[in-house]
Amino acid sequence: MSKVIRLAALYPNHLNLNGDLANLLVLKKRLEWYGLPAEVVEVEEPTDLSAFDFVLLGHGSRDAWAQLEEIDPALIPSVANLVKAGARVMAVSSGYELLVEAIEGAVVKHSERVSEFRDHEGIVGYVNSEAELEPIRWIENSLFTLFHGPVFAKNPDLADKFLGSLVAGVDVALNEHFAKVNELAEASRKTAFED
Amino acid sequence: MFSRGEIKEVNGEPCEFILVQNPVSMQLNIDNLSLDQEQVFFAIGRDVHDPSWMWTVDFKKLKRVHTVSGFNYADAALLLAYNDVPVECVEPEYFQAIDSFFALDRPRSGIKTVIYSADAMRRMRRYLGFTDPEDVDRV
Repeated sequence: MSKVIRLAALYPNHLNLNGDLANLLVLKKRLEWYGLPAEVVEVEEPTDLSAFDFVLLGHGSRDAWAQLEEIDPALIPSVANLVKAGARVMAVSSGYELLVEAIEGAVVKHSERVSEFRDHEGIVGYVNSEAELEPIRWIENSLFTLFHGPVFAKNPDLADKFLGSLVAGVDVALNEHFAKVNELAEASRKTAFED
Repeated sequence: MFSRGEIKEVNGEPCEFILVQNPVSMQLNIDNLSLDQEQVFFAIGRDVHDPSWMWTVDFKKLKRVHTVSGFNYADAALLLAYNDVPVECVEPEYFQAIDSFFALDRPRSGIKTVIYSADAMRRMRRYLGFTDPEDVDRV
């Protein structure tokens, strides 16, 4: 039997304000449809993250981050180290901002709040942020995004790019699930810009 | 108020109408569904500008959906697909979806159940001719 792929949801009680955790559900189901067993593990206390195949750092309120600073003061530096070591981390909105600041040592500037659907090179998602950051950015194997909520459901190619070598080149023609969700995802991306 | 545990007859058959407007109301209503519901209509309209919040809801109690429709039908159907909720029919054309759903034979278990957002509710009620807010029976 294959090894179970482990997906870590970091502090979902604090960092799932906009449904970012949905991305791990999408990855888990896609892995299963590829024939690879996977599980989502909710991490709610300081934990060695090196045992996970994928890690999600979602978006949280200022208050949530202040609480996490008390619960797990090493959280951001340890996730930043994972990114630098080539692990697969997905960071969303304020999670993105804090990680980039930790990795690059620069303060992210803020301007007027953007609250709308955006299309970034064919990837569609909802931005609700004041941060002056690219909507999508890759550092090593990690994905940083301002798009909150189920961005992998809307953009399955992005999900599979994040899964990387686990699924690259796998023929999915015989698996009915992929055709169905790909068609719905295309319709969903169009709906985002309809009046 | 319409659609707070409301039962109306459509084509001589009872149907429950459930309005969902946010994660809390959607979760409560899903959790309160009878497990034997055979025919559920799930419609999310254009009032839901960003459907992300629906993904914070736990769908374990929703065993099956017959029809998905509404302006945000694609997001709703993706949500159900990734949550392993079987869906019989995805119909983007809303009034077509309504016609087909209410033309189905009576379910063998439970009663027809409509779960919808406010915009989908208004459009369905107008289409079915339910316009009197006092003319309501509750569960």
